[in-house]
Amino acid sequence: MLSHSDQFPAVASGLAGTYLDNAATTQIAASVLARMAAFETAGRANVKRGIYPLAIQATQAFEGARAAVARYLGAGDSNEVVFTSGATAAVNLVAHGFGAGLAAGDEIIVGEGEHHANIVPWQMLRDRAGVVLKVLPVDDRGYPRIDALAGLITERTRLIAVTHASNVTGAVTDVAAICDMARAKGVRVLVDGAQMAAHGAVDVTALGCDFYVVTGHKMFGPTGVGVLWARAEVLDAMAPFMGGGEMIRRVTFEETTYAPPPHRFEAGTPPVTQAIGLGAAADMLLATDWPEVRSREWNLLGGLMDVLDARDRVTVIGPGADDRRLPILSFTVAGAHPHDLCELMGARGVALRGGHHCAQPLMDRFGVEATTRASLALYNTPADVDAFSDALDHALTVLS
Amino acid sequence: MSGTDDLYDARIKQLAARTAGLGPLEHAHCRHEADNFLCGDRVTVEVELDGGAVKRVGGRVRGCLLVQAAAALIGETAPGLDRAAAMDGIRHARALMADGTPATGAWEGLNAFTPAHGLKHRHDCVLLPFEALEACLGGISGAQPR
Ligand SMILES: Cc1ncc(COP(=O)(O)O)c(C=O)c1O
Repeated sequence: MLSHSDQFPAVASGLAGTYLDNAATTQIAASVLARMAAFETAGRANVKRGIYPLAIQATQAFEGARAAVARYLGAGDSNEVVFTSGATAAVNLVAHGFGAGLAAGDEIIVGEGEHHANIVPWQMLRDRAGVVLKVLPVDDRGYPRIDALAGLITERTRLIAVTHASNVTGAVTDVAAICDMARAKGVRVLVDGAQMAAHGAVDVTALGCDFYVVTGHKMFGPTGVGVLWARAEVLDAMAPFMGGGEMIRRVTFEETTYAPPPHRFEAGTPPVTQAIGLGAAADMLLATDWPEVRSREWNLLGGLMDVLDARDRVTVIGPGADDRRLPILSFTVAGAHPHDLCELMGARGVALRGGHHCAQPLMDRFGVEATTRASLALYNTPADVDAFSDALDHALTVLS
Repeated sequence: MSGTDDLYDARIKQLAARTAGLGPLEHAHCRHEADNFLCGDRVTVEVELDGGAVKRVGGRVRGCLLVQAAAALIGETAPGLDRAAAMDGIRHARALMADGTPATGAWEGLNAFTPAHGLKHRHDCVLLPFEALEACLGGISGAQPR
């Protein structure tokens, strides 16, 4: 059997170096590249309407990808899966489509720890439609404070938008608990699964949410594609966001009627190749031995935390090693700015990310301007932890 | 040493360590906040004038070592210069970053940033405080046009 790193060309070749920036973008899997190449070289045609063999085959490949993603997300029906250009586009689609049904004074609760992709679209909706935004605070470890939720939900609450896992701290939200509370009050829940999806199959049905968004490039697939999953009845009731071809039933100059979901939300030619790649990524992830991967990721995370614990000046932000979390680790170093650390460690072949991670409200919550972040994926190895440790020592020496 | 290590040499680190000396000014004639939207670094520059010349520079820096060092250099170099000469700092800084042209005259201290010339992704760090200074002084009526 191939090791995990063998399945990722840039990892196997060593060209990705010590790649610890997986929360930004994971490396692409060989199986994904192969399926995209096969489509482009032997199966390329537009999808959905063509009735010659190549087009029929292309449509089948595209719809097959939809079904694979549906399986990975635990969706009851693949028609609940809408292809978008990414997680950001998926949230914006909901903000427009679901948002169109909201009235001034309706309320949306947004987590304090969200990525800007799950904040800004709601602010834009607030500015368009007079919707009121409320913030669900996070605790000192970065977890949404579910105890504060009951006090925030009112008769006017229509939606709770919360991340499944923080791209900064790795904290995993107890989404099922939020959904239970929301359902009892008739409130919809949107979950940002951008980070979660790279760490094991999701079960949207068990979570009980209404919307779930993921993005291809963070789950070993290509860039330029993502998914909005939404419960069938929610999608049925939702207005389209973009208009154009492939999303209509009938167009006259007087009136247009729309296609049923998911096509209603996929105006124009979709990112066919990328969707097929994402389907291949979902297949790969479905075939992955997650208990084995998780225990390895867990050990490596422990290794990174030990490295940080052993250094003076270092503060880890977020949950502890034994908390419900992903292997995404943020830290600060007294007297060393994250960009300088990342520059120095990057020059030693260690890819990290420093900055606000598109989560400025969370930075404010923790009273920091920026953090340095190391994030693991299934192909990382103990050698990566050693390289991280050496590069960190070097950077701390230079910056002392 | 790599080019990156050169960047963090003693001169830059010593400059950066002096950023703390900037602080807010009580009688600033102008104030400008500049930020790098990509990385979130933010610099506020305040200038107190004495006639046509810069008397004091103050402000606040939230950013990496290069942003800090460049802001500190401004704080130490601009006082005593007339507005035009102070605003000229950005021209020297841009030339040094763009093609390694050494800075001369009052802004010679900028040459400490020569290693950053080869690191294009860090040019904006060095330039950010200079952009704030230029906008700050340029915003005062009667100042040299930019
Ligand atoms: C938690 C989270 N949500 C949303 C996004 C946005 O994903 P994309 O840029 O692929 O749309 C990201 C990406 O950084 C993320 O980490």
